[in-house]
Amino acid sequence: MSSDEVRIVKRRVDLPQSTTWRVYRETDGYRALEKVVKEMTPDEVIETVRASGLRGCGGAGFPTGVKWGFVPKNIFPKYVCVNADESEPGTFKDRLIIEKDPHAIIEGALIAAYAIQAEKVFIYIRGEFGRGYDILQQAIREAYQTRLAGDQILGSSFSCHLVLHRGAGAYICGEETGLLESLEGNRGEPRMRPPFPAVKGAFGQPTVINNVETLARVPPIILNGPQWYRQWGTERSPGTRLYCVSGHVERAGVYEFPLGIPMRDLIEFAGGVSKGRKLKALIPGGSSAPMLDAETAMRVTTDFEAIMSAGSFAGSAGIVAIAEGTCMVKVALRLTRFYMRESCGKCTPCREGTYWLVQALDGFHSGSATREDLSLLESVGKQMVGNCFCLLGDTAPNPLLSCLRIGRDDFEYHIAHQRCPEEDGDR
Amino acid sequence: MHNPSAPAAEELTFFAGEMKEKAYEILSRYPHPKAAVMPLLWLVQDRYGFIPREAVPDVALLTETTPIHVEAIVKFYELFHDHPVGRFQLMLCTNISCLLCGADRTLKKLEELLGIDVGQTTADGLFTLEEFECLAACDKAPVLLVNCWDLYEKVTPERAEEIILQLRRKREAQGPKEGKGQDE
Amino acid sequence: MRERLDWDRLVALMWGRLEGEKGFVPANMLSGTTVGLRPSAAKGEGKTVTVTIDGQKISVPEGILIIEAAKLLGIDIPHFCYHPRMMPVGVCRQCLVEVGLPRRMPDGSLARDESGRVQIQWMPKPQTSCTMPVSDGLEVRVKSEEAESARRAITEFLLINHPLDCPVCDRGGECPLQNVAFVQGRPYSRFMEPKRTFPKPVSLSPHILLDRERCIMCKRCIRFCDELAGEKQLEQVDRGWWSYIAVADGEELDTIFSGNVIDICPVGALTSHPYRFASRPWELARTQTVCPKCPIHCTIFADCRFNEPKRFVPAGENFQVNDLWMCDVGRFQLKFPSPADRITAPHLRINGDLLPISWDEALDHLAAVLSQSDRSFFVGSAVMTNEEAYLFQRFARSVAMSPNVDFLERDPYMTEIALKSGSAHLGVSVYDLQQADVTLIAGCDLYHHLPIGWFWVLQAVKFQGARLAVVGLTETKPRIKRWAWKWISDRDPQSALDIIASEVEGTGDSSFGESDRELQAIAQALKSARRPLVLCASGTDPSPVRPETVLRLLEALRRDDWSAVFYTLHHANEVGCLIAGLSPEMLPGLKPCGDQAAGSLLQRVWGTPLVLDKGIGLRNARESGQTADRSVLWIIDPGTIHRLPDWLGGLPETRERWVVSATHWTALAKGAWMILPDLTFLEKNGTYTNWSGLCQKVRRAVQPPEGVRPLSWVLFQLSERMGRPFSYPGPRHAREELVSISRLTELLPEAD
Repeated sequence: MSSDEVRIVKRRVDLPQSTTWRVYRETDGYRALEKVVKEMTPDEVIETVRASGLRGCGGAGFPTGVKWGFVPKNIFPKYVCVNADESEPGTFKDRLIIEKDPHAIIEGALIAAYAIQAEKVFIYIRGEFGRGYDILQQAIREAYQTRLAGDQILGSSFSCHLVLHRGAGAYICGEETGLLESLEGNRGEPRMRPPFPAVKGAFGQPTVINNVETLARVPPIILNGPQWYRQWGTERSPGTRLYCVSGHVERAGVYEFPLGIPMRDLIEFAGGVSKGRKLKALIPGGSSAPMLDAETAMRVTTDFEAIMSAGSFAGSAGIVAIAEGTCMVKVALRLTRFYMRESCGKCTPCREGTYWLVQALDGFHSGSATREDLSLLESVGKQMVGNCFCLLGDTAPNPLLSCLRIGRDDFEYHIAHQRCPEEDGDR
Repeated sequence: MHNPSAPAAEELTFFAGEMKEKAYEILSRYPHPKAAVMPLLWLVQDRYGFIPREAVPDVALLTETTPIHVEAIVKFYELFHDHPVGRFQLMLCTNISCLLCGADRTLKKLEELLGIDVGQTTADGLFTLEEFECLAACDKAPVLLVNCWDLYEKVTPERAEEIILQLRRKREAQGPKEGKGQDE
Repeated sequence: MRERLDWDRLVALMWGRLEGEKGFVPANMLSGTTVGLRPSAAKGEGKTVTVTIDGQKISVPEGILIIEAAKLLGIDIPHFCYHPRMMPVGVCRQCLVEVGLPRRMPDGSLARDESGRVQIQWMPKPQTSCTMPVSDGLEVRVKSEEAESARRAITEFLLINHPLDCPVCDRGGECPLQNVAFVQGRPYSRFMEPKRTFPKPVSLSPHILLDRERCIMCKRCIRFCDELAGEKQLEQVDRGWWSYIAVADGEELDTIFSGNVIDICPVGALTSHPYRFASRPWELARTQTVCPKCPIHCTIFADCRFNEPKRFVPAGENFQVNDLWMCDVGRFQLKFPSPADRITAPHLRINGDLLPISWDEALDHLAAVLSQSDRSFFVGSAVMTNEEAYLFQRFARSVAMSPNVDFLERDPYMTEIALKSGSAHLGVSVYDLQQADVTLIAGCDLYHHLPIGWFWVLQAVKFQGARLAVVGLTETKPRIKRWAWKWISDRDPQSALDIIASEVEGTGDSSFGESDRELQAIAQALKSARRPLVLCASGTDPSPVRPETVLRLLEALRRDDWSAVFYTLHHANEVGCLIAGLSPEMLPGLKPCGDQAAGSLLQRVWGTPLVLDKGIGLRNARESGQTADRSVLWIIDPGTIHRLPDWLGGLPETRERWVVSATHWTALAKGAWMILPDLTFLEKNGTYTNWSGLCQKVRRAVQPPEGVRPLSWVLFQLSERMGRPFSYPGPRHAREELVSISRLTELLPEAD
């Protein structure tokens, strides 16, 4: 495997003034949109994306072209939603694109809009991204000024408007139906599926929701064709992906590599585990994904299928390395507390279960836990899995269950000594 | 579902002048007025720093919802405040990557420096300290976000001290009356 | 191994049909432990599908939910957020089951294994049976270990923060959560940490208390307000485990339907203020009767403890009137006089003081004075049952030989309509108002006077896309205006309806002003409507619409299966009293006075001569001073049910020869010459006829105090003393006679 990055989405991020329309245009920007509205039918666009095998980069990895194909042809109006509500712990690729290459998102979104014949694109950006909001706003302004958005784009009969919608701090709005509820002006509680958003989404109309990175990949695919994109990655996970490597590594960052690159290579590219320590556990796809133990992590490749068969999921490609010497009780408590705070409170197991888990984990932290609490934690966690309304609840116990599996010693240490192993200086 | 009729503009008491114009512009972006709840609340908060209770019935009228709906939105989303907060809202990420990189020590340092606990505002109304969930900048952990705008990277306890000093100086340079309208 | 109590058995044990319910499902049951089909599904339209639940096959209408299909098989799936009248949300997760769909080959045919059985693809995680509609070939496992353990997990989660205060909870004993906890809860809690606490109880309105600790966030109350009652007045505030239900800052839960949230709450989170600590459910004797607060006549349960009513709740699926709902007026303002205030013996004014006398003395005395005059006034009240009204007028016309028969709340406009059209009620059932496609409300406050009527009109507007036009009302809370398609507040209803009537009839003149054009649009909409509904201000409203106008519209907007132009009435049995003949202008069956055929029929049935003449109504008599002579004026006091009409106001302190039948010491009773103790509506047996002509039973829920006699007994006794005796063995016999006389059996269908 190559140890050099393959920069498709990242190609502009190091350019000076990369956020401007001028720089974007000079680097093949909006050529794909031009090609699409002037030379291609909507179906050809969908077919091209389908043939490229592009899979959603938000977490579920659903084939993008297939998703677009689900949208009914004869119901109008239709909408495109850009999910720029990046908030999965350990993931920070979308921020890079928003802040460095906003026009790529706009172009990708407009192509998606053309493919399904949507009249409006809603870009739902995370409330904490104040700077990103302004950068995107400015890019949208430029797009309107240059007739790339709005009525009769590039002189064609295709019209599409862009609306930038700012979230206000709720992790659950990254879930696509939670995002739709939030966009419509409700509490960001996930919706029941079916009906799926492709059939009945924003404002009750057919809607395509795509992640920022997914859309940024569309223009180069349109320009270079599906086969070009398939030269990287595996058969079922073609192309490249932005891997967010953080935690206990020397050089944390966003790296673009072909799907299927060995995890070991990725960690090495990031400088290896920091301070020469040994890897203890690894989160392969954002905090919701079950952790891999060091041995499995070093064995696995990074395509969707390989991580799935290792018992986890590739999710948002937020890879967090946890080094030897880290107390897994602390990790479990922090991550479970996150899910407790972000649970919307709609369904019972998530609302009550996360609260219970945090209360019980606090017992370990404060030294009051007993051996029975270990099995209780496991049992309560397992009672949540599969019984919740949305994936937030279903995956909320994952960090805890993983920590119990990988770091059981730390839990035992807490029970035996009423202290954190980290405090005892064995790190 | 039936689409209820729009309220008369003269019923508004809080939105007036330029803000009313802006509110109507926001409403025009969406297929349904309810979708404008969050943008309208941002509009209010950008101007006042928080969402005064008096704004709620107007937002409800404009968006054809009810006051409790708007109140619930304000409380659901963490970035909306229903009471005044500090001039600088310090949001320190303490989630996984920042935790691994020592965010807890930074947090402790900030609490010491400001003399407040998480969630509190300093007596001079300058700083509100909040523990925040992942800010999507894990490569620069631990990170501190100020007013949803300035992101400070690799905030060690020492760096935290510098940042606080820097912000105090900034405030002196800008004067006390300045709003917190960077997001506008 | 310990035998686990079977869910179905427990439901049967705890909720076995109560005696006297006759197929009605108690409202509390509908709040949580039972599943009723949604009306849309219950109609059985369209095609059916076959599903297999726990090995049993059943064919059910397509589109019903798994939980409902299971119910049809007698399998109860515990649930909290599901409610048969609301959109499924699937938030409580209590109804999880395993679901499998038949596997299909790429060509669409069913995949089969070697033995030819259809292969079932089981879903990887349990599904909520309250959100999944059935489809052909669907298989469901309700009682598998996996489904049961999922549901047990949910129960455990629901209970961790739920306080263990069942012994002091008003809901304890009829609480769905309690039942579920009994059946599938753990005997000991594994949750040792402190429970979430809130200040409690919080007052949502003067009637409703909220205990946030008990709340399990099923959102039924939120959805009821939002989906059915009108506006979203409640919402889940904040998020996660510390979220709670709240009303807006400084507001109250002030919809007139607010009390229903108590019924549908599956735990004791929402409780009634008046019923707080008043009784335990198992101490209540339950009687099904109707609510006398307005002419809608919601079917209710009067729940009484130790012979005292404690609460009124809807009696369950009544698809002609109120379905599962009732308004706050009936629920909270239906007062019952306290035993200390009751009048238990006849009283006579002697030397200026009202002194108790025996029944014999009272009856002898009254018979004597009644015999002296044939111009006595007999003034009933709309709280009388049909039977009482019928007997009262029979007594007046054939014993006291006086034509002066009336009831206090009689509306002369309404009487005129009845005389001219031969009908005294709305042409469609109250429940069917939700099918109206264009509704015009002209000058009447439907929301306050006929709340359930408004409720169904609102459902039509919200769910059927019906158009609502309102003329001659000013906007108040609630915001009726937000539902209105046309809102014209600056016209008086009479002139507006004149224009609309002309337009509908096609005789309108073409010179229209601006607001006339709006009226024209309303008229066009009504004209082309499939089911037009026009509700007009009656004589009791501030600016009434004249009967001619109402009749014109009634004629013009009549459809083959729909006729819904009518007055908004205000008082309980107004319709029934008119039909029973309790008016100076009409005999029983809405026959005009003086009608010889009707007269001879009555004479034959009653076997006595009678006065056929037109009488004088009390209101006319008062206004023209004709009550000043020595004749008797006998008034039935409406007591706690509704106020005396305003025109009766300014009564002299004591009144000569005024006989008042009263339940307790009302203002009228205190000034009377003679008082006869009367029964309250909860002590009577009989029937009421509602606004749309439906006749329903009023049942005795409370035993009357000793010494109080029914009006019928008083009348029979008097008739004997006056030499023209008549009597009936029971209310049913009087009713049957009324029905046969009036030949209006379609108006008075036999009560259930």
